[in-house]
Amino acid sequence: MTIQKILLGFEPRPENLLSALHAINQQFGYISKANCYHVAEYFEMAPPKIYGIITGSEVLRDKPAADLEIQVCDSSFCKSKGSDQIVKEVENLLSIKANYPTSKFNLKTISCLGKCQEGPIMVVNGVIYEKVNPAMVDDILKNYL
Amino acid sequence: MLEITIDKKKYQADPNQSVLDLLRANSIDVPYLCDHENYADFCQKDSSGTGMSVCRLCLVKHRNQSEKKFTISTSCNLYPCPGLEVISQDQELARLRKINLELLFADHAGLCAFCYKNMDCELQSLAFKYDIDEFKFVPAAYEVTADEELELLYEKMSRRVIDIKNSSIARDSLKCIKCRRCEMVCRNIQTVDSYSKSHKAIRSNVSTEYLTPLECTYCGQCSSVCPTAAIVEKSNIADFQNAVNDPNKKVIVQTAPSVRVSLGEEFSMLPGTIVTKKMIQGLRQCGADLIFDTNLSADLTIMEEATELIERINKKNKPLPMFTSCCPAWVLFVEQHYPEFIRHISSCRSPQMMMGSLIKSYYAQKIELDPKDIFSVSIMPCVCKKYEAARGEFQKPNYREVDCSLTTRELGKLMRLKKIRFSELEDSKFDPALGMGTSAGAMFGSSGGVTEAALRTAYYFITGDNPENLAFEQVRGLSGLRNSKVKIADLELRVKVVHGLGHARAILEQLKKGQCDFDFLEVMACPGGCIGGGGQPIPTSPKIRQARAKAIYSQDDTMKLRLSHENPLIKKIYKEFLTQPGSRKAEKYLHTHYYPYHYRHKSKD
Amino acid sequence: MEKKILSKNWNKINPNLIQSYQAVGGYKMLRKCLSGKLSPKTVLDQITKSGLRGRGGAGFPTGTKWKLALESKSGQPKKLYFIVNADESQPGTFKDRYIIEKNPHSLIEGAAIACYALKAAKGFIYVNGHHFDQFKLIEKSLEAAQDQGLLGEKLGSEKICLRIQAVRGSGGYIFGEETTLINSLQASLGEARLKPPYPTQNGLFGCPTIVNNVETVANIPTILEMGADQYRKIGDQDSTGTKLFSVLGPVKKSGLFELPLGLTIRELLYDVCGGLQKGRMLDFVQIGWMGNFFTRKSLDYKIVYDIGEKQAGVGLGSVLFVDKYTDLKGLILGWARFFERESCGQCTPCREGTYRLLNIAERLEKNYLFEKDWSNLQDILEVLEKTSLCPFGKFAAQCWQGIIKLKGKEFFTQAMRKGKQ
Repeated sequence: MTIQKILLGFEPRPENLLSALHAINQQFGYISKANCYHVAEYFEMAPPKIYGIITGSEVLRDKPAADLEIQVCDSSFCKSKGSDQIVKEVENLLSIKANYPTSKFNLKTISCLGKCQEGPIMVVNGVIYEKVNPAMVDDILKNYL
Repeated sequence: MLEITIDKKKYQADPNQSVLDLLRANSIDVPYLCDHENYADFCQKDSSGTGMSVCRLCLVKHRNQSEKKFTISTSCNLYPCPGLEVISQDQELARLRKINLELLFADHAGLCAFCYKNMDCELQSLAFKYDIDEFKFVPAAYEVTADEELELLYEKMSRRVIDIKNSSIARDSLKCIKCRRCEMVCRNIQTVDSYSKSHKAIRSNVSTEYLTPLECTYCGQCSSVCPTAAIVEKSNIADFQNAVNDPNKKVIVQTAPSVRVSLGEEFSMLPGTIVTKKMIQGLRQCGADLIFDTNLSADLTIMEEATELIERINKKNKPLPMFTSCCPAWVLFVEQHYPEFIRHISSCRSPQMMMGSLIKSYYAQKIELDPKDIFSVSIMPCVCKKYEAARGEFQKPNYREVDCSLTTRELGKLMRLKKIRFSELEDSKFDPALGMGTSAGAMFGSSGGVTEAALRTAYYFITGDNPENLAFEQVRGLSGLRNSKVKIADLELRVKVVHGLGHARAILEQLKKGQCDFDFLEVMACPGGCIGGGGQPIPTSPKIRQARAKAIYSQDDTMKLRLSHENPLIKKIYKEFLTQPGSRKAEKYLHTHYYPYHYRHKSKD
Repeated sequence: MEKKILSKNWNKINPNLIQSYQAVGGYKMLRKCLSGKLSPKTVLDQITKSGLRGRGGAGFPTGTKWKLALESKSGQPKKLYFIVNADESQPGTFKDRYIIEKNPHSLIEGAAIACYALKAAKGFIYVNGHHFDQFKLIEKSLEAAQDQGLLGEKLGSEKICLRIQAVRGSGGYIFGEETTLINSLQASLGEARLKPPYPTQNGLFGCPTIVNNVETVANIPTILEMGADQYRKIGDQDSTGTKLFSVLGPVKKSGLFELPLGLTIRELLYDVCGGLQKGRMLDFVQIGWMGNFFTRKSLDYKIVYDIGEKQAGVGLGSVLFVDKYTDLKGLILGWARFFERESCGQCTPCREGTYRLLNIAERLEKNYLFEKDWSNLQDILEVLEKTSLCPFGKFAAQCWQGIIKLKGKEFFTQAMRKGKQ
């Protein structure tokens, strides 16, 4: 689907901006600069503001996604269940650093997803893994490498 | 008006003005870094209200009649209500302000010594006042690389964007304290909307979209409200000094009409002090060989513009209404946002470029000097003039018509660097060759001045007589939009005077819809015209602009020569060089062309 | 102890099928509204009388909020908007997720009734951007309701127009703050607004706007069904009805419970959760929001909305039991990370302060605090609490202040690094 086609699915009203951005984000994996200008023109808004909205969001991206997107919850409860060890394990296995993305891997620590009971939570390319322990990390990542 | 109590004293307050405005008006000292006096010029207000009162420094304690306890809040969003009681100073408030200031100052620790705005910085002066310990908090941002594409290391603490790609404005995000004045001014006064806050939390950044290099109208209002050195004019001081030190170059300086009424502020004089003579002497001490007056080329602009206007009305060779062209930011604004109206802009060059062209053609021939051996410098109240001087149309094969342009602030800085004691300078005069202007030219400095000067000369051109009353009071003033009808013989001329790009946009939108009720439109991109220009001394507030405007018009009352067409030098130049207004030669040297703007970085593919 | 009113149909129905909800009496109240048997005024009166208070944490009486918005609308040609805040993202809270996943139609029915009662121009359901599945479920359910003639234009004999749109949110804790949510909906930056004006006066597109929590809205059909008087009987004097509690910690039974308000912490711990696991000893319990701590001594406190003598604020209804084995420093670091990441970065104390707090928390966990950290901590907490622009800053300060109150200065001084500074 082209960007024009996606945009035409939304009435150019402010409340539809977020939905349009989500749709573009899903189609292309991120919102490129060129697409940002298209959106700005369609919704008659200033591009910097749209960029501000994109970067203020945890879901929308302004850069292409890495091949492997890993997210680990690190706020209070998952942390007390040992999510830090999971982060370390992933860092060691892929020899990367959390929150310093490369084009191949992106390990990001995130806030609560409301699945505290099933924690610690790890999300790999959109698939949620529950009750992860450091020993499991290798097995999970093997499916993606 | 209602009565409120501040620190146990009674004050009359306007319920539509914030308590901070009241405190400021009564010179009660409250620190603030995000609010600005210029906010009074807002022509549109964002209903989301974000980005306002974010610095959290202008704290006061207040309570209503019905309340017993005082609550702490910021005074910039506190509005007077009957019986309001405010405490503006006490120990707790001072402590809270200090901590917030310390948090803001943390990233600046150790950077002041080699900062462009050292000793000239709002944050720094507040830090002095509140006795900030530089190293209480560790800086959050460290220097990182910013290469050609301004690539940012995503999600990284240490982010710094340095943007020096354009010729007018330099940005350095390391110095930014996220006060967001630039964003507010750009969005709500100029409606250009080039900045927005992006990212979250400590990673927030006030920047352009995708951190692309800035591409706007370069009006420079952001640089004049920035409390730190995050947004400054791109300095040409070094170019000037290199030229001065070059024995083969003859340095010729021209100074704009509004610089002489504001330069004094750089040396703690009162706003509105006219310092023409000291300025000339100071420039000579800085190494300028010859100093000319831009007022002269402003007179020339009037001659050409008035001729063009009459031609447009009589011959209908170009569309009406005619727009003025002396403000480069306004011209760029039309080229960028309303290219369909390009033919409406007067083809006359701005006074800066007319003078530049005269120096390198007429004057160079006269003194028999190769134009490339002349280094032509303009002192302007404007940062966009730097862009204008670098425009492609004004580049000749082996020289530039204006080699560099300095702002009022830069001139002040240069003189301070040279250790010139400004107030003790002797008087000096412009060099006679191109150094005599009329007060009509001087009025270019204030919004409405171009119209007034043009009307005087147009009156003469049409009727052959000078108008009885030279002062066209109806186009003066500092309101955002002024309409006026002037009767010249049997012609009724409808003029509109606008300042601030926000007001200009509103008019162009109307014009787009086909609602046109005027023949002549004067636009100055900055609030108040050049006296409120982006390169003028900091601070610039409505009050200060008023003082500067008053100084400009006081010149008009005292000067003998008040009509551009009566300037003997103008007559001489036409006789010796240009033949007559609108001639072939004038076309070549005094007129230019405009093109729709192509964004370099904003491509959609 | 559990009292299932809101959750009575959970696990009985298929959340994907509207018929399944209708089979247990769903949409009865909305149909009654549409057929004109329930006037907007009656709905408003019932909600006011029931004493329902906002379940989003602040506990503002729902009926009063509705009235305020209607008042500021009256006499002006303005529209009124109704927004359901489904942007739940506070750590340790998962009540809204359950409501949406188990019974989305109860939320939609509530929202539709609210739009009907308030004559709202449009209703929005703002779903947390992270939870795409929830968003899809709500969108699907909205379509199903529309097919059934429960939403849309010209409904019933009165030709009522009920339009509800699901919006996938930006994703982030700050968007749960009502003014930020409104800004996000009107395509502004995700930043809090200054209050006043409150959203009931000046909200979405400058119109009066009501933002209600998912749980509040989902309660509306239930209240109308059982009657306000009946509903009032449940719970406490000023905190009526039931509340969903998300309970976490080393207790025998954790998870989500629907409990009448006004129960004591002791009841919650022993009757509902079955006490602590074997060999554990309670250190303190956190209820509602971060920093709202209660020790063993205050087990008899009632869990209600107001904070007074022997009363524990319920907030969002999240409960975290912390025992002596819990790594407290790790918990603080978790909170600090959360606040540092989720701050919108608008105002100075919050943007800079939360980052400094994270630095301190990191050093605290490593027992490597600087000597000046203690005084810096005090300073930051003070500005966060007193000068931040929106309540987020206060929340960020509260969890630290709770720890300081509980553990004293020694907790920090013991973690100072030894030797030469």
